[in-house]
Amino acid sequence: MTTDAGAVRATWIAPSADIDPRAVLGDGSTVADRAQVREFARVGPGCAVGYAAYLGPGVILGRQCTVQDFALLYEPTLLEDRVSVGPGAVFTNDRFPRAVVPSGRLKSAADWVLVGVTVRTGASVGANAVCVAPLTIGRWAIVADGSVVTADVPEYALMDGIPATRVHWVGQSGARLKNVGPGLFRCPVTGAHYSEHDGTLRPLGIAPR
Amino acid sequence: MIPAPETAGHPLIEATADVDPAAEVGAETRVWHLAQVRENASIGSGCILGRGSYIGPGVILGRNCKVQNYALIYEPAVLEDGVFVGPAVVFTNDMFPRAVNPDLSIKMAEDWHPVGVHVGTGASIGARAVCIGPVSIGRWALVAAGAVVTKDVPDYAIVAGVPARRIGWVGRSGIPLRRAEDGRLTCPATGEHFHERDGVLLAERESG
Ligand SMILES: CC(C)(COP(=O)(O)OP(=O)(O)OC[C@H]1O[C@@H](n2cnc3c(N)ncnc32)[C@H](O)[C@@H]1OP(=O)(O)O)[C@@H](O)C(=O)NCCC(=O)NCCS
Repeated sequence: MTTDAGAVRATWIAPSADIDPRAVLGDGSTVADRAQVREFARVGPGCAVGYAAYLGPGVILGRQCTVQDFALLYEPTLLEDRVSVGPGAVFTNDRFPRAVVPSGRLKSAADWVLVGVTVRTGASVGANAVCVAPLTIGRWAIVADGSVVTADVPEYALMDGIPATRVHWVGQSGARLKNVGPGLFRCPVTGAHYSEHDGTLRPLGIAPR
Repeated sequence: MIPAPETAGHPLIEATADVDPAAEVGAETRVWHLAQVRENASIGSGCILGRGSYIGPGVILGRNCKVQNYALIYEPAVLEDGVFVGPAVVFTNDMFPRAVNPDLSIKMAEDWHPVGVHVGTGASIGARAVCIGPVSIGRWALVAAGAVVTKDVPDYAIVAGVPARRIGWVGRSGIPLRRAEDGRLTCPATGEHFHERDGVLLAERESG
């Protein structure tokens, strides 16, 4: 178990980062050059926001999340704890985007309902991947580089392709699980066992071996 | 037809944006931080150019276009009125790119002919999509996030995937059209009717 109590590192903000005064940054978080953190965004403790990354208004990051260079997270993105977002990944907020309403007037905030991407604890999204909201990425899932995710992702799924489909199961360690029996999987790194049922994977209460 | 914005005013350009003096930027257009607008580009009124976006030399944007963060629009692209370009989209301009000529001398402007992307009125290009010029995106079409468009897209088409293929039809509101039992397609938002003929969608005239 990790604790956030104890030694609190200083928050570090690069000189050209653009952080709205109404945004909140947790202890020990870092924001690199040319990143933008919009109003009311909340970044938890120990997060790292990369070069030129973008966090839209009100976007929430839990603790120890990493958002790599040029990743664009539009509101209302929510990352739980220890989520990794690769360089250049994009989380959208409008499934059917238009610049204008049918009459031709520029669309304004009042003209559409924002939809968001939620990424649950420990999940990773690869470089240049796109997540098309609304959707939720389950705990410890991995989205491969360059994929386009258009629907909810189950826990522990390894997703790849455009549109992304599940190609494997992965454990908490990120390693691909080995199929060791009917509906039974084992992590080669931690030795933990998992069972698959109806397209979902659950950790089993079996001591790792 | 896209009506002009009700009020006239100056463009609003952030200090860190780089707008060439020989570019034209319309009234009420907003150019956000770190965006670059190159020489002779012409941007209509009421547009929004997102943070870090790039508009190449001589590129033309109509009115009320929205270009999202870090989208890269290389010349000679033309966007008609009301076009949406999603975050991290790229419009390319060289079908067979090479840094050098066959003799390994560096390629100069006169060694190649840029080819452009044309986007019709009201069309939307989803996040991180790539449109490989020369290509034309029809009016009110919708290119899915992450698609790679290599051939022309008909009006009102939804295209997705690599390479992009048509997966449906969409109305001006952006919502996919629904097919009724008689085969007609209807926009759930505006109530407009359409019919499909030979891969082309035609709006039906209002009648009783
Ligand atoms: C294309 C789009 C409009 C489809 O949304 P939808 O109508 O809800 O479609 P569905 O999720 O029901 O998918 C329909 C089919 O198309 C496929 N599909 C959907 N989006 C896709 C995409 N981006 N790329 C490839 N295939 C896609 C689905 O897998 C599904 O295939 P199937 O019928 O074989 O199962 C949407 O996915 C999209 O890309 N929107 C653009 C978002 C964006 O970029 N916004 C701008 C930034 S905020």
